[in-house]
This record gives sequence, C-alpha cells and structure tokens, in this order.
Amino acid sequence: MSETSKKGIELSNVTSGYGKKKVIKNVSLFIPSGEITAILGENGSGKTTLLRTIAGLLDHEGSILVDGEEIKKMPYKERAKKISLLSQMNSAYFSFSVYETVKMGRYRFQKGFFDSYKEEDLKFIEECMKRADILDIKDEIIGELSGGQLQRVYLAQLFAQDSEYVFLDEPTNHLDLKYRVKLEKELKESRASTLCVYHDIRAALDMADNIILVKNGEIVKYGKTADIRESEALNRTFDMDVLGYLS
Amino acid sequence: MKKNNTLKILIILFVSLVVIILAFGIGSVFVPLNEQFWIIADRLFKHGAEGNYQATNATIMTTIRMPRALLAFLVGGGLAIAGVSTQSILQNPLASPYTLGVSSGASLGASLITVLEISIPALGVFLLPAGGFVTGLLTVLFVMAASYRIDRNVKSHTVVLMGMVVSMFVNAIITLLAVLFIKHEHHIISWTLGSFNGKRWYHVLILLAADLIAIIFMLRAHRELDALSFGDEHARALGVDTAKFKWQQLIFAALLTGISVCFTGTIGFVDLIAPHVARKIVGANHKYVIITAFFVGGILMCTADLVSRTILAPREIPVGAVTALIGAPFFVWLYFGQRSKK
Repeated sequence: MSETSKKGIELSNVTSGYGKKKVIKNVSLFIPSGEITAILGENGSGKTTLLRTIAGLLDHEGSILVDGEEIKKMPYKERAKKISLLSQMNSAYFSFSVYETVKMGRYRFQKGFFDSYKEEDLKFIEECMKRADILDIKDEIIGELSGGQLQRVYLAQLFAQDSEYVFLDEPTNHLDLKYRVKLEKELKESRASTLCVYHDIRAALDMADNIILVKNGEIVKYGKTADIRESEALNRTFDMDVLGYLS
Repeated sequence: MKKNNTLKILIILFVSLVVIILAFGIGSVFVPLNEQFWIIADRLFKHGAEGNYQATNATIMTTIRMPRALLAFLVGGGLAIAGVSTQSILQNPLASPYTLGVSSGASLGASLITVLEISIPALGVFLLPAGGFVTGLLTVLFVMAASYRIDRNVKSHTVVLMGMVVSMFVNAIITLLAVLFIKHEHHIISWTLGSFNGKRWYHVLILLAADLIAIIFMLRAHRELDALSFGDEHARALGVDTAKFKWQQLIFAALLTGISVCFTGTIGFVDLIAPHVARKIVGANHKYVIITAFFVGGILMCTADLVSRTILAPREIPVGAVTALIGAPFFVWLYFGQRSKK
C-alpha cells in the first residue's frame, strides 16, 4: 500500500522497542487520513509500542512519513501540529487545575515570554472542555479527580491541541458507559484521522474503518473492517475462537 | 486564581522586605528602622542626614550586615530557582541540585584545594570558590553523561539515581579526605556547611546579576516546565523537545547552584523546600512558582542566616546546619504531613 501521494501515515520497515529489546519488527503499512484505524491484539503484543512509535515518541529504524514528511526530521512542535496522543499512563507530578491542564494543549500555538492566548484560543479551550463535559470542574485540582474525570481532562487537552491526527491508547479506560458511548459517537461523527488502540474487539469493529491486527510485534493482517470482521486472522491474533465469540 | 496569585506574590514581597529589614537591624548592635532608612538614604542620595544615625551603626550596616543579608537572600533565591528547575525536569518533588551532585562536587573541589594546599596567586581568595565551581560543574556533567550513556532519552529516574550514587561516592571521598588530613578537618567541614560571614558587596552584585538572568531564563521556559510536569512523553506529545530542554535546564541549574554556593560553601535544604512552599502558595503554574520560589528561598535563607549569627551570639553556627535543623522536620511536615491528610 505505498501511497505517498495520498494523505496519511506511511511506515516502511519500521523496527522499534526499548533499548536492545525490539518490540515492533519490520512493520510496513499505510494509514489513510480521514479514517478511523484501530489496532487490536493481545496484551503485550506491541499495540501501544506501535502507536508510540508512529507518534514519533520512540527511537526507530526504518521510515515513518506523515503526509510525506519524515517524522524524525520534524521539530517537536510540528509533530504536535500533526499528531496528538492520549496516552494510557498519564500522571501529573504537580497539582495543576483542570483549566490549566487543558490550556496546555495549546502549547504548540504559544510564542513569546508570557501567555499569548487570543480570544479565539480561550473560546476554543472552553469548547473543548464542553465536549469533554468538564466545564463544571474547571477550577478543581487534577490530583483530586477520579480516574474517569482525569481521562476526560486529558481528552479535552487532546481536543485543544487540534492536531490533524488523533492517537488514542485505550481512550475509554476509566470512562463510565455514558462517556464511553459519547466518545465513540463523537469519534465516528468527527471523521477525524484517528489511530486507536482498543481492547474491546466489538467496539473497534463497530467504530473503525480499518483494523490492524498485531501479534508479537508483527502485523498479522491489516485491512478494511468489513474484511477483518470475518477473517480467520482474528482467531490467530488472539489465539482463540474470536469469530465464534463475536457471532 | 490569577488575581489571587498576584496578591499572594505581593504579600511574599512584603514579607521579604520585613525579613531583610530585620536582618539589617538585628545583631550585636541593634539598628532601628528609622536609622536604617537614613543610612540608606544618605548612601544613595548623599542626603547629608548624618545627624539622624550613629556613624558606627552606619558602618556596621553598610559594610557587614547589608551585603551579608542581601547575599543570603540572593543565594537562597538562586538555589530555590535551581530547585524548581531540577524538580520540574526530573518530575521528582524530592529532587534538588544536590541530587545532581553539584553541591557534593563543589565540596570535593574545595576540599582538595584545602588539603593539597594548592595556591594560585592570580586567583587569590577566589581560588576556593572557583575550584568548587569547576568541580561542581564537572560532577554534574559526569552525572549527565553517565545517565545519557545508559538512557539516551535522559529519563528522570536515571538522572536521579545516577546523581544520588555519584553524590554518595563523592561525599565518601570528602569524609576520607577530612580523616586523612586531620589538620584541615575543620576547614573542610566549615565549607560543607556554608557561611555568609565576611561577604562583601561585589559578592552581592555577582549574585544579583546571576539571579536576574536566572529568573528571565526560567520565565521564558515556564510553559515547557509546565508541560514536563506531566512526564517526558506527555510533554513530547504536546510539542516539547524534552531531551534538548532537559539538557539546557540541567546545565542551567548546575551553573546557578555553582554560582550560588561557590562563595559561601554548600547550604542544603532551601533548594528542596522553597519550591514546595511556593507550590503550596500559588499552585503548580511555573509562571507563578518561579517568582514565588525565589522570594521564599530568599526569606528562608536570610532567616536561617539571622538565626545562625544571633542564636548563640557571639558564636556563629554554620548556616547549613541551621537550614538542615529547621529544614528537615519542616520538610517532613510539609511533604509527608500533607500526604497523610489525603
């Protein structure tokens, strides 16, 4: 699927990991812009490592082109313009307020000595807080929030970053049913270019346009959701009768 | 929040002024506030107000107490800013320039110069601080290089652990030197505990320049420091070049700590406590934390120096001992007390 002329993210022979341990092995694929792509696989299969590698957060061999630009060569602010990431393991070492945390999503737009938030920036931040339903807790300290509330704060920060590609690592973690349904509906409707690690196979098949099946750091199968839904590759990826489970 | 913080910073500014006035006034001879005013006015504006104060008080104040108190304030402020930087980039509330090995490295340099009786006439009295400064920097560079060799992303825990190991090793060498060269033992211990005794106006001017540059440098970086508080990966995803930024900040913190302690000897705890106090007062936003920590550090150090020279007068306790004696229980209360409430 080499389609450098098309907007999207192209991986060629990408290998990455932690130190000497290689987790992702020689992966080549093309993730199209404007579609939702889900990464599925067992625990420890390399889903998160693949996501972090594509986001440019891990050293890697091979090439990752984001809309034709090599990610290694892009300054970090440019990368943030292209890709935002909701990580699975978020932690804050100091006690910021919810509002301050969401505002940080606008970091890539900031210049100069002090804050340079324009009126439209502040309006946009408020909109993002509304989308994540956290406007009523905007003055609270993030260290005092529940896991679900904190997840929504980081989602609002991600919205505030307003990047072209949205990367989500288990975005529904800690979210109750109401917010989970709301987020999935919003992702579907927004048609944002989304790359998402998911544990819930049903939800992924329901939401995504494309599915990447990962096992032991390698791609088992990658394709349109309609093709993957009935593929025996699902069984191989999870070492169980997934097709039977889904039916 | 913004208005509240501005008001809080103004209150801290007022407290700073009170502490400095007390440090100018209290000692073997008490110089009252009105006399302080006339002495300063006379020196600044050639006012011709000699009749309003005693000449001996003016001499004591302008040549001994003022430079001493102001230097203590500036050293405290500088160490506090270096502490803010270290804690933020290492995302570790227990980190301080000590963690990077700057202070122990500086002590080793001073100790080596003392025991080997090295003399460089061109440097004169600056030999000891210059030696301490250089070895402090070399130590932190070693810590950073070793951390980089192990972990190219210079992750926080790598630097903290490496800094602790190197500090312990260097401290052991200092102890060994003190034992092997017994006639210099007192000198080595004095330097490792610090003192503001006998400091002059040129020391104040050097520190004033260093602190002003430090405040500007840090304020420019306040957004990156905020982002790094969420972890390296989170900050990178927001657009911060964390590896480059951390290198800049580590070198900055080492330089500032080196300049702060090189004239006075190493003084602990202020760099650790002041950022915590500042965060308790104004929250986590570095735009406010940096300024607040500077004044809190200044207040703490100036007060510690006042206590060190007055509590057992005419004897003087090393100021490092005072900061540790007050600082250790205070830190336990501040850090663990608040945690146990949660």
